[in-house]
Amino acid sequence: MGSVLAAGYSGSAWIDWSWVNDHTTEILTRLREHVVLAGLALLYGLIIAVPLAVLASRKRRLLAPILSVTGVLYTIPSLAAFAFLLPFTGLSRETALIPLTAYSLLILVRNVVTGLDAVPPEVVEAARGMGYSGTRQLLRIELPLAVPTIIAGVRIAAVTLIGLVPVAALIGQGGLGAMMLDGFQRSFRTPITVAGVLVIALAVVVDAALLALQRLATPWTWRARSIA
Amino acid sequence: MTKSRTRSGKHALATVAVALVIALALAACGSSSSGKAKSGSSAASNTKLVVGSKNFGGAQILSQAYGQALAAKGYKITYRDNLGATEIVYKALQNGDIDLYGEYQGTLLTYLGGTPTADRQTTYAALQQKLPSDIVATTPAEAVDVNGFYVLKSTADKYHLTTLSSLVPVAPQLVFGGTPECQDRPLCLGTKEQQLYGLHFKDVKKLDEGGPVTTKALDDGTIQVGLLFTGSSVIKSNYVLLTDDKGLQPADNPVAVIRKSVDTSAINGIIDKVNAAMTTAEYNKLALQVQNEKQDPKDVAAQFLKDHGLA
Amino acid sequence: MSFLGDVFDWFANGDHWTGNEGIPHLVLQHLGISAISLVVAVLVALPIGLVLGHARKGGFVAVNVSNVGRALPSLAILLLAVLTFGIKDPPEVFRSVGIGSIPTFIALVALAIPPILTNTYVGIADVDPDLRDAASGMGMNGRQQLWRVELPVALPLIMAGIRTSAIAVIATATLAAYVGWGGLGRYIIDGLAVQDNAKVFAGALLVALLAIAVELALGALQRVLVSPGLRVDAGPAGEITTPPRPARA
Repeated sequence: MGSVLAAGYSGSAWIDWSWVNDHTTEILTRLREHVVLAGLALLYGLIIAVPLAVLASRKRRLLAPILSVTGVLYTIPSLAAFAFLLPFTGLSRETALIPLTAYSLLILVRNVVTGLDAVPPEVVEAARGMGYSGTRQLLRIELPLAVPTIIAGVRIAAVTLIGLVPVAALIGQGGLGAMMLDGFQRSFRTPITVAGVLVIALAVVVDAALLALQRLATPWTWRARSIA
Repeated sequence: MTKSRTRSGKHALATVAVALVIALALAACGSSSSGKAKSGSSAASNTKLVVGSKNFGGAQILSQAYGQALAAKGYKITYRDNLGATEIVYKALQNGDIDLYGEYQGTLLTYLGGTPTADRQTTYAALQQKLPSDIVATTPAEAVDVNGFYVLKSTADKYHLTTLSSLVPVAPQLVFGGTPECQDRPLCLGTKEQQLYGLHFKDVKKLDEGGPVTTKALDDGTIQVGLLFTGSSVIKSNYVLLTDDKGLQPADNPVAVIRKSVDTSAINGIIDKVNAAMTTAEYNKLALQVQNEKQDPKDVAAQFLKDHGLA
Repeated sequence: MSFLGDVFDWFANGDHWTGNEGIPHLVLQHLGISAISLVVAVLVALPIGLVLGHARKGGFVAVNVSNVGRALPSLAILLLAVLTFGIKDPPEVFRSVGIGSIPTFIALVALAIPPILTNTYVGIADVDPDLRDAASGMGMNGRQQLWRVELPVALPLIMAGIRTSAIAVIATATLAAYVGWGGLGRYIIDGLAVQDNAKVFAGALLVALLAIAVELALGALQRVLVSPGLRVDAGPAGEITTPPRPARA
């Protein structure tokens, strides 16, 4: 019967690789939690943002109010947002998921609207001339042409969410953030460094993948560009 | 021309949508972390329990020890770790978000409005009285982990500090650092402490749960008096514990607090065995492995159970 | 609705407006460190962005850093900084300009740099080539082009970057309460510790209002500073989705 415990780990090193080796399962679990949280928020965000944006692009009077509301939601610092919900939804995943979804809305709505706006009037004319109207026109002509801009927005939203998830560790839901807090409580740098690096790495990978998707969805040279 | 654009555009949209939905649906099927479970007695094998833990090393070791001992006997355990102080975790228990967690009986009794003593048995009896009918606490372990007021040796020498009583006249010149909930806790700087000692400091800083923020603050002089846990914080060799001469700190022994609806005598039996092995010396050793050697509470608990034949 | 009543009571309590844990003190602490961190970040990032943007060098890095920079894990930086530097009070020199905590300051500056750097770079580098041609045609040298043409044109984007950083800084300053600092996050962390939901909610409300107020103030500043001919819409998320130029005949 051997010891379950390895030799101890270094508290002062920025990364103690033997700890990383011994804890790959835990690291992957936290990584998966992180991806799930960000991914779900993104999905729900899209589900809400697309109809909202379509509405705003059709009825322009609604655009400013919608952008104002989503803008306010975006401005609220994440810890405050989680704290708002805590008394009502407790230490559950919803307390993290709802604010995260709300954060994605501004970016997504904005980009969907811009994408729809950028559909050249000639194309819309031609479509009408061919008998398209209403929903069919939306689904078959306008949204597809808006896809590159939408993906650009999804890129920004995805990366933003990945960066925000760690804060949810303060209410028990943080994916890689939980690793950061755990390391901190033991004066142990390695988990914090590893978690931080993984957050950035995840963002880089997701960003690159979505960029590739964006390019794939753009067979024509003209495309809308999101800056910063 | 429009037609081919539509087709490729539609294709793009469809591809993106399908890819996203599938990827996210797959990810969403992932669930939160689960613990290991060995096959065991039939009574246990389909019982699921959620084990929560408080937010510092000692408590995490306890919760892990209880959870793993149960898992070894066939229970299906999932963990919700590092939830917070008693206020949060106890509430989670009442809500049914968790089924059991590792607690300290003096702290819990005080939280529930009771008065613990320095005696393990009487404190336990008082706790059982104060607990609501739907929550039970198991027999306490021998180990003790209480609030300790610590100063640097240089400070102790300068002001001739040995006991908490000797601190009282000097306190207004000193800065204190402790947990964020300290001033609401009778056993920290709350009402009971005020009645017994009446410590009034020049400044009270809200730091962390006897962790690195507090120890660093003590080391570099940001605070002169720090609140650390006698059993599970890192106590450096140049720290001096001010003796609790008036007996403010109670018998704060580990107990498992369980929802009555899931409690069985089998579960109690398993936990009692764990607590029977949990002496102060053992507890200390485990806590320092977590704090100093950076071991995981999970692994430390596993080794402890193995050493005592409980897993 | 008694919960909102509790929150109202919390605000109505006079004790909460005085002293070291009073609202005015914590608001000033929060704003103080946010302001100085933002200023330092601008002083660092703006020159680099201007130089690189004008020379159109380092573009690949700058633009790709931009999006990933949004994911900079501020919590990790904060925690590592505390483990390294502790929470000792900085020298008076620092405290007098608002730096009440070295680790917090470091984390905030690190966080604020990417949006400003990227937006400055992209703003300058993307100035319409026609404008640049016109400027050099008028006899301006490189530096004059930068100050007189490129910078004013890029200003909306630069301001957008500064606004994004400002909001990020205020948000992360809230987190610093977790490691023993003050600021408005104190109410949230303390409230969480003792399950005082009214306090938590009140703290969240104060932080949100502060962030919104700063966003509005900077938006107004942007409208004042930016030439009317260049009005471009940019919101708190900082990005401007520029519709493509109309197809030429």
